[in-house]
Amino acid sequence: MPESGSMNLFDYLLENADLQRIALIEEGATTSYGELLRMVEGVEHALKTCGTGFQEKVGILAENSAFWVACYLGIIKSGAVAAPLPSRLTADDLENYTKLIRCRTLCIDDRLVARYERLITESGNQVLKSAIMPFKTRGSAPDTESRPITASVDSRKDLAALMFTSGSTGQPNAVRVTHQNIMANTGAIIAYLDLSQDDRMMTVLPFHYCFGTSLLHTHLRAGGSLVINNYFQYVEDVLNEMETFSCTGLAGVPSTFQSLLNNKSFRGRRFATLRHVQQAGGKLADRYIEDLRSILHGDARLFISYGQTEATARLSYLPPEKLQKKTGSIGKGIPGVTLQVVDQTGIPLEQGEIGEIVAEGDNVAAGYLLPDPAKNPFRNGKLYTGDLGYTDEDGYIYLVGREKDFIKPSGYKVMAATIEHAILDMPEIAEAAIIGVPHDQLGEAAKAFIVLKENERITAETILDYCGKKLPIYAVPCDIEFMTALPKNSAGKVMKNSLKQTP
Amino acid sequence: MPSLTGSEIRDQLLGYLNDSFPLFIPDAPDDTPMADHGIDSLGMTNIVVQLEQQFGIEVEDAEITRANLGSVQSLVNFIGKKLNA
Repeated sequence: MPESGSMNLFDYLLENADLQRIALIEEGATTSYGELLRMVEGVEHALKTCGTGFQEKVGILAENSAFWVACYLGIIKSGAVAAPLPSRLTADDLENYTKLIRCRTLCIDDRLVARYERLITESGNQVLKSAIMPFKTRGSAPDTESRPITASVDSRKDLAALMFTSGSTGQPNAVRVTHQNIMANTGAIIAYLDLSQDDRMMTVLPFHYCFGTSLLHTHLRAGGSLVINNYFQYVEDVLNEMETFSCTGLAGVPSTFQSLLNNKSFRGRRFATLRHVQQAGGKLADRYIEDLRSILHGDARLFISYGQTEATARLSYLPPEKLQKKTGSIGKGIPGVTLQVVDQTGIPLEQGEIGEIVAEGDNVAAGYLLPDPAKNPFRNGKLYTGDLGYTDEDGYIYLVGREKDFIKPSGYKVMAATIEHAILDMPEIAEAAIIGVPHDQLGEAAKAFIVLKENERITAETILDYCGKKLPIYAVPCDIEFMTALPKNSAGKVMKNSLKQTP
Repeated sequence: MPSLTGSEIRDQLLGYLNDSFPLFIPDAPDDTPMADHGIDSLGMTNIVVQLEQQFGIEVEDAEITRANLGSVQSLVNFIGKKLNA
């Protein structure tokens, strides 16, 4: 095995793979590690035929699937850079994304080819479809002698992937992620989750989103398996598959758990094999955390965590045994990551003082594809997250909100999250999102978008009365709009830009 | 609600989907997955609410499956079964 400094991420991820064991389950069909490796070989040969060069960017456009995984691994193994694209783009958006990353080769799932036919024809991009995969030969492993050699890399410098930020507060950018970044983050997550080859993750998060990719990385590295379900809108099917395939893990963003906790079928099941539940991708309201903890059986541990694409994926987690005492905290840095709360000059703050969260560790990515010197979060080997928080007397960190996600009524800075959490304390409310809107007297005021729980009926006046008791008067929303659900991107994050365009 | 034929249910459903989802392809085969019509989880939530209002049926959480709501065809069958239950 090469030294870690020259180790290709592919070799690291597949180091513990037993070729006979199941790697993926999709629509009930299994793909073993041996079969996956054959598919990876198909991708490598196709890339070679295309003349793909070292560190050349190759786009992946597919829903979560064995095809997606094989393309991702094949690109990385060959020394090229995988650029997973959001799978539900319009043709125009896709054109912008491919121009941004300047890729000339795209791996596209056959099921999506029709949607992007015009672009494919006009762009001159080389397109690799599902046919690059060999037919499955159950149980047969690739011949070691004829297997293409894994490209050697400088793991600290060479890129494995370009990961698009989810763009919850603005235009997407791509983060340059090295082989070492992913290895460091993967090892740390496996260590605190104690993953093994017996673990099986129910995967409803897209692999193009860093949280979803981290599920893939960790379970491959552990030699475990993933059940792929791209239809979370049909929750009952997801729950059935969790039981049918004896999943040991479930992971989601806040909206995932809000949906589940409002679902009677979820609440009525025991999930006997479930061992760990991971929540990241934003703050889940405290009462949902308490609710989730109370309904999970004793062997299913709930891990609240925090991360960013700019940190490969994960930055912190709250140990399950601290969940009750430290509800609301995102915990402390994962192994190998140091987190600090600092003031505007970078000086660490005392406990209880609110400042920006700054991270240091091998998972801090190499930078943006399109760096903007005016707002560069990668400084002095550290990541300035743009998230505001404070530490308590034991060093546990509490998030206050995104640095950019605030409104300024009457000149006061109020974090949108502060108002959202106050509203979410009302038991009738399932989801809440706050944006700033122009206001004659205040300059800017809060507007609330509210989703009620099923069969709940409360008026805007009741919500405003409640806010009046919980919040400063200037932070009470000036307008409330009820919705059946909040608009979310494919990673399940609320798209506030869409709300701002609501007439 | 007076009993509706499968064809009447389909017409009403297509009218709603066509009016409400800009990416809905009315000419697509009835077994086309809803995701191919650009209908995501938010869209599915809206469809369930609409079914309850338009057809006066109640959709249980445990009924939110691809088999019941995965395509126009499955929706028509599901609504028909609920109306005749």
